[in-house]
Amino acid sequence: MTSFDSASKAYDAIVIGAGHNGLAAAAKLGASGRKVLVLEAANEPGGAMRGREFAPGFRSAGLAHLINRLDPDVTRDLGIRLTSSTAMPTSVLDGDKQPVVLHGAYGDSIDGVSADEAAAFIRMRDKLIFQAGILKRFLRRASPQLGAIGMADLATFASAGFGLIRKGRGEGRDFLRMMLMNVADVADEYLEHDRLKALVAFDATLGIHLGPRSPTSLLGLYYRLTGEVAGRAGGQFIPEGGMSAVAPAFIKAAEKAGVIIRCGTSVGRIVADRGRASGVILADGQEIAAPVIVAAVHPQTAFLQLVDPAESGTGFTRSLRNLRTAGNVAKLDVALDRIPSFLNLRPSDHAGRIVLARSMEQVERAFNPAKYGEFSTDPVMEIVLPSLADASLAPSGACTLSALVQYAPHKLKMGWEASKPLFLKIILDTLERHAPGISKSIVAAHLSTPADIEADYNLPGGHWHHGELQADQLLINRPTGAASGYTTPIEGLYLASAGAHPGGGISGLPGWNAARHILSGARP
Amino acid sequence: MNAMTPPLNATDGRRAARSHIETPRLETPFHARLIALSETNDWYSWSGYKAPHKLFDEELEYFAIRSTAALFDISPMVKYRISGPDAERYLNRLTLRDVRKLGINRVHYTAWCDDHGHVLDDGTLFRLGEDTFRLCCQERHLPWLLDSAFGFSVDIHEETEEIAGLALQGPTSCATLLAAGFSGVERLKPFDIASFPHEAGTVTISRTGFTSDLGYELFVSRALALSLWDRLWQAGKLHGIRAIGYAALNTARIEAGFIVANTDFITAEAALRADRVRMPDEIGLDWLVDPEKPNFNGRKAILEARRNQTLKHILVGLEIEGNIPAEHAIVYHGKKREAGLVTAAIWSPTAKRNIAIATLDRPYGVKFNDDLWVEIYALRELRYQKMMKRARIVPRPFVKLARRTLTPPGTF
Amino acid sequence: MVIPTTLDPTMASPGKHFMSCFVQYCPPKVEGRDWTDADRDAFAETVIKQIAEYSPGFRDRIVHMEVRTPREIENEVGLTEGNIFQGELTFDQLLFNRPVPGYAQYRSPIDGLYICGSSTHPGGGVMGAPGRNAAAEILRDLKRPNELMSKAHDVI
Repeated sequence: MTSFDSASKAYDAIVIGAGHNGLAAAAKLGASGRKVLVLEAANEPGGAMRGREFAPGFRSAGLAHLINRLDPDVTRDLGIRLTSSTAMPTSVLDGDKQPVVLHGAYGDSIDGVSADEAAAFIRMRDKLIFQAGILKRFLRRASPQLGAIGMADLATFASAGFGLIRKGRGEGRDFLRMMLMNVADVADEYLEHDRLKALVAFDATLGIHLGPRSPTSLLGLYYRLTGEVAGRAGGQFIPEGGMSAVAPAFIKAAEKAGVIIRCGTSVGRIVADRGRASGVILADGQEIAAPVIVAAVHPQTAFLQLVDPAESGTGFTRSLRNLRTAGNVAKLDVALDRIPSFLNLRPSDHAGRIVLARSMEQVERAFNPAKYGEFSTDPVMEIVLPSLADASLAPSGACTLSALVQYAPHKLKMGWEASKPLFLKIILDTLERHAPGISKSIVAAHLSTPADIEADYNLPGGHWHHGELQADQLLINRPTGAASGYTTPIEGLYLASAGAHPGGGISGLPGWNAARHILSGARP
Repeated sequence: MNAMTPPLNATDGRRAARSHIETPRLETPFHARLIALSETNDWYSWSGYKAPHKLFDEELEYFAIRSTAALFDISPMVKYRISGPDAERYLNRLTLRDVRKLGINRVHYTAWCDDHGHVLDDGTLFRLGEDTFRLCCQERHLPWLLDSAFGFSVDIHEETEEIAGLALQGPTSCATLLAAGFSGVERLKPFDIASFPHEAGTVTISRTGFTSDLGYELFVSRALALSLWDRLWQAGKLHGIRAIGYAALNTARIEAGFIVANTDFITAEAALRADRVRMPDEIGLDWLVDPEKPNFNGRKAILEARRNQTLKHILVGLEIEGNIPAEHAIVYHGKKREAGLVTAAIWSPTAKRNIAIATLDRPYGVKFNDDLWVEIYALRELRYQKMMKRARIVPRPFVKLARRTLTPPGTF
Repeated sequence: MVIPTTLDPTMASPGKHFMSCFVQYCPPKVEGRDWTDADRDAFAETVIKQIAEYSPGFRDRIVHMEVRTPREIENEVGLTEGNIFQGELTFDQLLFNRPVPGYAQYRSPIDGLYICGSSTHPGGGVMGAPGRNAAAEILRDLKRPNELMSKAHDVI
């Protein structure tokens, strides 16, 4: 049993990494009266939500540029208030025809398509949201452990089963049929419209090394739809104060819970002996003891760098080294001297999410080169203009643009050093096609490839989910069997990052779940 | 592992890459001598090498082990050279025993497990220097050894092909070595290693073996193999040296109570069925497990199994009434309830007892040690003679010889 | 690619051989339209060219050749779209989803009409399991004993 009451210990728990999951874990542990220390290697907390000035006078709020899955239980429990009065629309542009604009939570109403198409989309959306809702039951608790299924697991299974039965036999059958399908086949079953298909194909594969036609690609869309905004699945928003307000909200929650956050403090090693963790040694040699160590960093960082491999089993390190964690998304920050204008897009929709994708086939073809270590020459991307929600990001009258660009494989055959300028040019040319004249208003453009993301945020592979969100790396296999469920083969060492169940995105769930698991006193 | 010379074109490259299929069975460095001595032409495959099952007469070959000196080719044994500044730490994480306690020029018997505490293999670990080791075993493990090297500064190299090995076992083995000019070999205590000049190179001699008798193992580079054989053969003439095959050795090893991977237990990587894997405690290797030393593969699982008493099997030595070997016989408790299986059995010529190694399902062998029986089916001219024979659990080794450990060995 | 005459020389006249190739990936339509004879011949040429790279002189040894694209497979043996497994072996078409949810028990919507092809569980390949399983279900419907059916494997 983990002991917190030992007076000789200065800290009850040490959390490594002050990303939002580390902070969520620390806040939850702190709120229970535990004395918690958070150690962050960077000079400020926030992890991948750490902002920075990428050009004089222009700031980026970090990797994420909108929120679509922040968990309401987490925010309520930790007292985090991040809200917005307006839901963001999603506009899908092909650079030619009128945009397709989805309003409300994932297309409550849709502009730019026929009523029949809109109805077909809603039918598909509702089916997928229902099915995602079944999976969602598993997100807020540790994933069930093979060989040790507990009452609570059975209750979750039962409620999932009951959810299915209540909707009738056909729904249950359809769920079991569709679960591991590819998003393209599902889209083809329901939709005709190119850009609606393009949107679901894009949303299912964003941040994942799959094309729409790859088996199981629908899981990515389910994952998106397990997220909710204001009680509605599939929505998205930028909080008041912009994305720069997200990290401080988590920091505040942690500090309110009495958590001490030490930045610029790099952990050199997690101290473990014969399967039991007892503290950390900082890069400067200082040793800090604690009975509970919470690694809110990439699982490979935790177990291949911070823990002496001699303390892990060969099979465990092998499975971690085999973790598929090569990033596929590039992040672009552009400084503009004015607000851009996308073709045929209403001014108000510029404050929403803009997806550049002509068709499902374009998404598929953009993926093809990534399989062979090449970037797409006709990329698809998601764009947000962050300074519209947070004026402090750009000088008055100017604007920032943030884009997540698929597909940009981490291991580029030609090497990113040599190829980055060409990829940037391709992206900017794509922007110019969709927003004529934008090139002339560019003050600066900063492209972070997965290689850059890896270096900037200490994320192996530059993968923002800390490992592919695919069937073989989910639930009882996240990040790998022996370390799923927040406990790890090393007693007293817990995993609380996006690499743990349920996965990445700004949800706070991995950190919050890990802390709850630790507090429950469950044995590994 | 070996870099191939770049082929001229794709077709030639494909041809070169498949040339190995033209040599389905390899010959050991001693093959020329073995084939000259083989009267029975009775061969089997040992890890892909052509090895003698017997050379002239199984029984006489066995008595060479116990009465004079028996020369046995152990070249097919899988050998890894493990070296580097982290070699000791690496092996300590890999294997069950504490490698820090293994002195330079010493050998110990050990085993290694996967993360679940299931035995991957057993073998002997030779410490040839502060940072240099040789690991000898039955099965191949390079992928496991390489994966285990992550995070360690260590070099792992398979040297099965390039290092030839000979076992010289029996009461006159020391005398033979002395006659061959390896003076000082008499000072080797069991599990000691020493190096001696041979031709332009060296031969490494350890006082080890698989027979529970006085005996030595010699390792030499492939190029010097035949001259070493000849040197021993010449020197051994007056000491009754005989070349032997595996059948004779197998008799001696059962008397010694030694187990063989994938004969007396299934290794974790070979097992296809979930219940066939074994923990060290389930195959009599509990004494190798050192909970006090730093972490090692399988530690948590093994200690948990002990704590939770979830061990399912146990390996025991049996003495069986009568004189019919009970090979692969089913073991019963109270003649009715199945309790396990005999994995190896012989009539022991030295112990003059009917002995066997058996794997039992706990609590048989732990709680229920009496009233054990084996059902022997002896096929005699197309008719089974069925026998239910009483079996008694006895300690191993079945044969214990003072000369195995006496230093200096007696002169015979 | 297999050369069955190396095992059974009676399949061809003495000294001659028979060779059979399965070639991935060959879609049921060519860029959205039906296969033509010219497409088929061009595809065959591509395949022979590649084999000849591995086996010099291969082309000159051909006495007779038949090429079946998915079009021919569909026409000759009725496998729709030339799919040799009677439907993709992906999760949405496996187990209780094979061939479609609700009809995975070898029974069809029509009483007395059963299905037992590769399109039923467990799928394609020469194994006979769909037929055997279907027979068991039919016996069950007929309320006939099926204990005489032998087990597929007594020991695995």
